[in-house]
Amino acid sequence: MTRKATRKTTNVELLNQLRDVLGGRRVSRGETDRLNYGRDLWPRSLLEVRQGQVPHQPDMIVWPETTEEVSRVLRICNEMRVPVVPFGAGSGLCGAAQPLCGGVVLDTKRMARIERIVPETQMIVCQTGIIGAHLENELNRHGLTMGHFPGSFGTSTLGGYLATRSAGMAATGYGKIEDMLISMQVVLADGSVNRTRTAPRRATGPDFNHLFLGSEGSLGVITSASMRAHMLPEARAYRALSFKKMDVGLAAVRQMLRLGLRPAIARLSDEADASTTLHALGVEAKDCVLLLVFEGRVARVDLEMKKALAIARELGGRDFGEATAQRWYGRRNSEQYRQSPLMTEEKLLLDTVEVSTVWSNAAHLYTAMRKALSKKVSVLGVMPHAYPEGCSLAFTIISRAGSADDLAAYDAVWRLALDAAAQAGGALSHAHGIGRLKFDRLARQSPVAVELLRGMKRRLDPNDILNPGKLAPCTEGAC
Amino acid sequence: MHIAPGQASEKFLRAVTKVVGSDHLSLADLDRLSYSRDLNPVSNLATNEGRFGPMPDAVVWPADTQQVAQIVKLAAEHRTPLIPFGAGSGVCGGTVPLRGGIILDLKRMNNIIKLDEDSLAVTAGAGIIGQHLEMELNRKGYTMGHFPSSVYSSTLGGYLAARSAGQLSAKYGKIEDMILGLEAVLGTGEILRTTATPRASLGPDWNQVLIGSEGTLAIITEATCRIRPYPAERRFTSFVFPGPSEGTEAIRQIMRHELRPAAIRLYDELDTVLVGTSSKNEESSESFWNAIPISQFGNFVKSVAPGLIRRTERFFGKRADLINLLEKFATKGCLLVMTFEGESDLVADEEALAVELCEKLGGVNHGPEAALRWWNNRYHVSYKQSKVFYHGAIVDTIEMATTWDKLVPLYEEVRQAVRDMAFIMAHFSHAYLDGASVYFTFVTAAPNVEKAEQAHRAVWDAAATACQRIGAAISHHHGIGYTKARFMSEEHGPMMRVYEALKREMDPAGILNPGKMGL
Amino acid sequence: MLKKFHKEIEYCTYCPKLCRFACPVANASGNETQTPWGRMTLLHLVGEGALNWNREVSLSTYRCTTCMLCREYCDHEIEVPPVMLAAREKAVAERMQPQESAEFERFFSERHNPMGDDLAARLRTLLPSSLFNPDAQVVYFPGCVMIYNYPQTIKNTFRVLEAMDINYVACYDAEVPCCGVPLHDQGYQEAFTKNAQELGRKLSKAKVIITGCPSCTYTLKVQLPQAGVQLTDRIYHLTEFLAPLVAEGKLPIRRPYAKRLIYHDPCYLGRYLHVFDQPRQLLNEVCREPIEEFSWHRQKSYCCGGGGGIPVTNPVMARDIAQKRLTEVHEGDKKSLVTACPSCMRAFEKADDSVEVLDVVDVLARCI
Repeated sequence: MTRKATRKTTNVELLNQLRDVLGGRRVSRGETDRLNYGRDLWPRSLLEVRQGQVPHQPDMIVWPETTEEVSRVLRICNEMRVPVVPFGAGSGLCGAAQPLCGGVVLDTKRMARIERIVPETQMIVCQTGIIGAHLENELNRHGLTMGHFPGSFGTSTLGGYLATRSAGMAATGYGKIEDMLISMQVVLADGSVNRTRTAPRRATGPDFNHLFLGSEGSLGVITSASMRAHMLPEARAYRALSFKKMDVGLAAVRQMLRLGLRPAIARLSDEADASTTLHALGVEAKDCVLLLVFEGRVARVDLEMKKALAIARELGGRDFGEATAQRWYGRRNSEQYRQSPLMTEEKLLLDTVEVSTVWSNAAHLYTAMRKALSKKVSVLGVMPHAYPEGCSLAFTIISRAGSADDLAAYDAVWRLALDAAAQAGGALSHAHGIGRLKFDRLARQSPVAVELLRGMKRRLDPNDILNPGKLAPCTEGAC
Repeated sequence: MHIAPGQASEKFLRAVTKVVGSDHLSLADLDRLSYSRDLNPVSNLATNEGRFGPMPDAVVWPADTQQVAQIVKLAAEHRTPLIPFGAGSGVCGGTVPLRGGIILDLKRMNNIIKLDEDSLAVTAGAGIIGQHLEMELNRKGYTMGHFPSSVYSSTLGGYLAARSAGQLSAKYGKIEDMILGLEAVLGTGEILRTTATPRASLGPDWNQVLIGSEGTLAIITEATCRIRPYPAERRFTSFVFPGPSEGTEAIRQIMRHELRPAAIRLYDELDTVLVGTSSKNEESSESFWNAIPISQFGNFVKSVAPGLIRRTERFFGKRADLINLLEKFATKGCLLVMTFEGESDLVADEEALAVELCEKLGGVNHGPEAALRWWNNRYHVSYKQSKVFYHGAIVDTIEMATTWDKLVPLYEEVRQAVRDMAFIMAHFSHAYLDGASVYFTFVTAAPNVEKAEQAHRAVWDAAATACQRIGAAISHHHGIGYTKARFMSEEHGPMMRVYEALKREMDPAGILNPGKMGL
Repeated sequence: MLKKFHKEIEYCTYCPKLCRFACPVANASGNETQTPWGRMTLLHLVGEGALNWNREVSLSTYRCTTCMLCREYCDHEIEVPPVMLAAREKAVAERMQPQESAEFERFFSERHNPMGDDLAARLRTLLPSSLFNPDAQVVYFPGCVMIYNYPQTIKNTFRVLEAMDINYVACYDAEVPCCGVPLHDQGYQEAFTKNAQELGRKLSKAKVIITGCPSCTYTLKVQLPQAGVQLTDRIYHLTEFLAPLVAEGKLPIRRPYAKRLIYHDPCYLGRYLHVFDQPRQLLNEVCREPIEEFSWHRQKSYCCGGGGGIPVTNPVMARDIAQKRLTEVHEGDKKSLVTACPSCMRAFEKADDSVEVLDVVDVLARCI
């Protein structure tokens, strides 16, 4: 699928029309802005920016403040066949927000209003440009929590969560973003404003939310959402447990969930990850370490923790105690800060391959991927999210940067990683999404589903203006 | 009785016969008759009078997904409608062949393909009957936790296609929560398979697009669903609250404390009277059906033909005196029944808090009996509808869902809108963090089937108007079919265009279950 | 100039922007460029030769209030403001600073203060001449913002001191009225140093300097020595000075303060000078109702938008930041905002005139 040729996107006519809608201050063609909107947090882009390169820049950036403005902007761009890339806070790890065909980046962050919080229904209605941490702060002030804590929490937006189908650290306890969504308002490429309806549950046909959830900006711009929140927990209990082998640890978590326990977090690190993580806390660890966090009512938290410990003990788990786990929890976001010193001082690049599968395949997937990746890079393995039926697995990979073939090497590692995941029966992404990084592999693995997506794209966005080049390559000259 | 011959072309039927074998295709009139209706009450009425609705041209029983795919391709080529069929228990006319065509009965595809105990997952053919699957799972120590009242007479494929929810959904989830992966044949004949995984971020979730599409986008042939260990213990408790507001507030508090009762149901005052809060351990649902008052039909009934009055009186019996009795008992309060199941100590913890919350909100503890009674009789109510139709009345259910702040207003407005047209009672169930469903049962009568259909439609229109004015969902778990198709455009607004786009994409020839869902 | 910040610039470029949700400029603008990450990335690209240092790049470095909230959310404790200030020096050297800043500097150089007024004369009209003692060892430094905008607060300061029988505090004569922070913040290091030297001469005799403005406190205490001008090392914000004395009961409270108050920690008093408890102690001493706290308070207090030269170079953004801070003031019961910094007060008043804004010492003054 090639995008039809466009008129020159920096033309004055476009600029004037956009300024008519948004005013001069909310449209920018500045060089500094175009540079900063040329990348998200895809580690591959770090390799480029290291050399001073930002190859994919938009022609301009706009900041609408209402759904109405988004609608008008899209109508203008659709008519002029100008690409539009919806943008939250640019924390995606797969390059989904990179403007491959120039055009307009539609930054939603000035559309961050909380319309209302309904404590009775524990529902919050807000515009999607709001940063996760701000949304959570506001909920906390009403005694509520979203329970959604991705590592990018302070630098990602509600719209980004919905568009990429995110899951936070406490997904085991609170659910994933799709469990939290009630309804949304989405603007299509032609500017038409659509919404899904608010109701706790309906049997009125397909769930249209799920067409736009995970659509990564290619089917519409999500402008507002109703989300459900939980009561802030009364209590929180922490424990660290060590297991001699990863598959034993996996079995322990599986059994806990099977029994009906619902930890907020059940995160199992393999030996390599445990020793690195705990070393940062000043603790030496040789084995796999399971970090358990239960939160909720005091009585329930105690009860579930007791039962969890009994299971762990039965499988030979050693109780590391509360303090280490609590300290890890306090520094649970610290891992992400490692990218900078590693890159700056040691010319090493950190990245994460994260997949998911059912329990019966978990140990096999872990072993297969570890084996494949270790041939090329250093690997730290974690099982970060557990469900009764299966789990996610995340592999932190550390590779060398700073040579001429950085990009080629990066691509080779990822081809290896995705092939290993596919061959071992894992899903190609648990929560980070697809972006530029995984699309080709997904197309090979699920051709019918991908064709379906492309078909819907053609119907909902016939001029291919929304985030073009992601679902199908941009042919040169067509942009 | 004359049954018109089918419209499907000879060529097409021959080609399909070649795919499935002549043993698995039927052109017999009696088969066509049997497959012409599901359990929607309008069809029941018609049958009562010996009338039949639109009929399929043939009934086909494919053996496997490949055969389904081949048939779909043929149907697309010959522009012949194709209606996937589980066990025909839908109440909205979802499988009625409005434009003729082929009924594709999937019940031969009923194997349990894999039981993955470690992963708490079962993979089965879409044609397996719910209760069969459940019994197999029980034998191995598991449960699906999915118990619609039709569980004896409905299939896994039907659950998925209709987006069903069972009575224990507050604990085990609804069907869309249970899906891990599925296989479906699109209207193009292509086979879509989604990876079986608890969770992935791979773009749109096609599972959730197909679930609820009621056969209009694809034919689901196989599914991997989550299961749970069979519960170690099950506990029952019931409370009486002064009114629906207090009772629904109790449910809301229970949900917001993250409790997961297997079932939690609140009966309105009328329903409570009929269900009974006493400790008698008998089938109280008998009394309900014998005690429906005719007071609400008053003038209405008097105006009908004498013959029908006799018929109606025979149904309602000499129990008119119960009207007064009922009004006297109308202040009896609302019954809440709850059941918790799972690990003993976890269940005890949840139940203890639920009891505490109910008491704090003014509920009076009535012990386990009423809840047990509900549990023991929970499927029996379905048998009672025969009696109603036998006597020429029509019974139907309206089940809607909305947020807590709108729940009691919805209940009151729908009752208000309908009260001059039908006898109506309700219970609240299927609770969530942000709201719950309200399930109305209504009975109405009319001198003939045509008028009954009109009365039925009038009740639905009034209820739907109230529902959509409040902003509630027009159906919580029964679905849309064709009987509610006229409400779809108001329900979804501009999003219907997206549904239409999905339809054109997945079923370009427009052969899959045409005439349904407002498409 | 920027080479010494090489590590900080690299780190921020590769970092997953974890601090951006706290940056008041990022929140007000919604623009990726106007985040710590965005600004530092530009400097990295300049360093790589991939981007020319030009007016646009320089303008981006002026969009920082120097509030230091970014450091609060950085595991590496990187401080972005010093990098921005160094960049601004480069901007000034190459005449690429914002137009508004250039105008400001011209104005300042003519008048030696941002207001263009004869601030010394103004000050003299406020207080009895006996308070102006050039040989005094304990000197109150009002600061230019206080003199021009909040003369009553200066009067209140001395009323409170008098009520506490503290008669050894003299008032600085304000002939060089400004501590110079606006120059420092906008990259005019040379002008700042000259101003600092004059201040050094004027304040050489003081053994203790007390100011009502945290920026002045910090500038006199830390920035002047960095410019080679060493005053006494006993430089305090007024609340630091008063709190222990009031705790000893030296303030004669005639009637408690009855209205609801919410306290705003100024960035320079809190994050820069680590003074959190003293203003609260003072207020709790005299207030009937407990002081309300913002949800972003103490170490994480949110910025008023008044620092880093933003009111000069980006006045609309300054107002947006202040308005965001004020949303909590409008929630719940009606209340007034109390703080301990005249620049914060000015920022809030300009953004929303429906909010009553008070200095801690104003509250004390109403109770004696």
